[in-house]
Order: sequence, then structure tokens, then C-alpha cells
Amino acid sequence: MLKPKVLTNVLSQANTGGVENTLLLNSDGTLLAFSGFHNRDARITSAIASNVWCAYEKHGHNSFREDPLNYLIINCEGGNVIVTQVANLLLCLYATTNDFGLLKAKIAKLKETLEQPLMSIS
Amino acid sequence: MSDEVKRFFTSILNKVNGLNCVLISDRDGVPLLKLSKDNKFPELGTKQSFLSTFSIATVQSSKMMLGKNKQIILCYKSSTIVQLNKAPLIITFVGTESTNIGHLLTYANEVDKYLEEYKIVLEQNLI
Repeated sequence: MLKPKVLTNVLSQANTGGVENTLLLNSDGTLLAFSGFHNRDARITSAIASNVWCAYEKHGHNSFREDPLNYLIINCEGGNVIVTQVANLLLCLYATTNDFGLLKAKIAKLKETLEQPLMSIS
Repeated sequence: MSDEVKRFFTSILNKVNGLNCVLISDRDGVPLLKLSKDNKFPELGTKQSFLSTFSIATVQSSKMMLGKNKQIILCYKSSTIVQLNKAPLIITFVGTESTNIGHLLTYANEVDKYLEEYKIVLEQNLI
């Protein structure tokens, strides 16, 4: 069993240095866990992030050399959204900074932490 | 002008580590210019269906309350793809997994002045 409070605490550790929301969602865009400031934005972000991820992931699987998508970074005028896969779920950071390297390092570390427990329930 | 554009993108290809090819296409993914280091184009990232996915993705991404979408960066296991939103054009860079993305993005702002001619032609044809 996953403890929702502990999961939210783990997600909230990434909410520093411009990261506003950390989301855990499934591939159809349903929000499973969330930590951050704007709840309304989170639902919109999760729906769009999963849609864009699925569109690009499909191309990787359809290519001759099976090429899985590791990270997706959506760079907008006001900030960035970075998405990666953890077990069969998606992990997403919503940030108002442009530090790609820092975002990638944060999401990689969070992925490493969550991979094992989420794998056991998937 | 076309030679100038080719020269500019060839110089990016030569300067950025790991970068293999550059494509300029319209929003439907129809290539207008294709450049590659060794005249080989990888399957992933150069197909019309892949290029046109960006048109949908950029419209959706602009609704995330972070302003207009500028670019999408994709890190696949064995390749890195950067797509720039230069409406009505899409610029796609395809490289290896070790492509220096930061270095590549320093050229993103310089790209605009070389694309004016393409944009004018496309806009005239769209009317």
C-alpha cells in the first residue's frame, strides 16, 4: 500500500527554486497525486502533459529501432514543464524557471526515489 | 538568401556537439529544407507524421498558463530532438543522446532573421 501523505511529502521536496507544482498522473491524464500551489492549474497541466507525452512516445515505439522517450521538456515564455515516466505512471514538474539542467536533475532524482515503490503497485 | 540559410544551419550543425540534422518544415510537417552532416536522416524525428505532431503539441502547450510555447525538447534513449515554434514554420534539430542542448538553444534566437523569406512565401500561399 502507498501512503498518500508520504507520497505528497516526497513530491513536495521538488517544489523549490521555481518549481511550483509536482504531479503524478497516469497515461490518460488523471491526476493521482499533487503537491504545489495552484490546484486548478494542475488538472490542466496533467491533461495536456499526458497528451503531449503519449503523442511523442508513440513515435519512439513505432520507429525501426525501438527508442523509448525518457524526458519531455515543454518550454514556454513563462516557464517549463518537464515530464518523465515512472513505472507505468507519469511524473511532471511545472516550473517558472528556465534552468533545464536543474529541472532534469530534480525529476531524475525523484524518479529514482519513486520507481521502486510505484513498480510494486503497478 | 537560400544559400545564406543553408550556410547558417550548416554552421550550427558543425558547431554543436552531437547534432546530426536540421529540418525546416511547415506546420503540416512538409519539409522545406533538410540538412544533415553525412546526408543520412534518422528515421525518428524526420518523418512527416512526427513533424506535424509538434503543431498539435504547441497549441496544447500554450494553454498551460505559462504563455506561448517556444520549443519542445525530447530526450529519447538514443536521440535528442529539439523542435522550435517559429510559426508558421517548425525547426527540428535531431542529434544523438549526448547533444549539447544548451549550446543548441543559444542559436534559437538567431534563427528568426534567416527565416523571413520562408515565412513570407508560406503566408502568401496560405491566403
